[in-house]
Amino acid sequence: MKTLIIVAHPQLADSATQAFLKAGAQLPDVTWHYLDERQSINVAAERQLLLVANRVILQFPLYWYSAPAILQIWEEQVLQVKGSLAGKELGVVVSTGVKAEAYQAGGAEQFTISELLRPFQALTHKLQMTYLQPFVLSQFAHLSESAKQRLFIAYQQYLTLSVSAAFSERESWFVERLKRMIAAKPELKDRVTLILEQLETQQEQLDELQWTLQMMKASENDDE
Amino acid sequence: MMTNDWLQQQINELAVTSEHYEEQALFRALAELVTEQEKRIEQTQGEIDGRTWDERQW
Repeated sequence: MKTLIIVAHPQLADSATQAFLKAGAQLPDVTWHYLDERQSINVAAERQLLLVANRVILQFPLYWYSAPAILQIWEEQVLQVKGSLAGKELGVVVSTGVKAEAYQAGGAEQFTISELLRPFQALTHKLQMTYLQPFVLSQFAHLSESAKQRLFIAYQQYLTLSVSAAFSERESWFVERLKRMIAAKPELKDRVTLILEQLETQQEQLDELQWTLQMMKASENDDE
Repeated sequence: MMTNDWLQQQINELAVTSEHYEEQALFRALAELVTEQEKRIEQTQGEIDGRTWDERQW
């Protein structure tokens, strides 16, 4: 699966959040594409990028409950109703300076992030794409180090894992990451290989137990 | 079979000793996944045992 990240941020160089996300996006089959306000949009090139992607991520800080202007301009120039985006996925990665709890009925901001991002959901629907649950970063600078590390991996999974991935897919995601680490880091090979083998053994064990349980349930249903 | 504690210990050691942020993050997330994996194994095994010993099934 190929993922394209469209980044809209007027002060990208000053954004610790975007630098953090960019480090997370250094993955195979993930393209980081920044919309530079100082340059005009090359419509054909943008459409070509969209064409080869399976998952498109719109990534931006929430400005006045919407995206920065450059993203609106990009949408107007690049998107076409009769394009070939049907069947692809669209996700929104949005950062906010306000705490997450504020975005709810009765909260300081009154409206949920899902409500505020509704135009993107409508756009996705119009383009016959599948809308992914938004990925929200609230008050990134205030997060603890362990929360940031958790976010780092959650973001990578948002870019690369299938929608509503089952637990077995999440296990396989880590198996793949460990295999890549073994190939890239000879000094870690022995230790990581042992971890990988044990992880896969437990994955098999869980699969077999779940299969056994399903068989038991099925036979109980037959008895009734 | 190696113990579950052994696996967690190995993962945590690598999370602490790694000099690369993304590796640390990966190992910490892996430790959480393994905790969840072991919980599911235990719960599923428990449910199988419960059904096996259900007197209505005798």
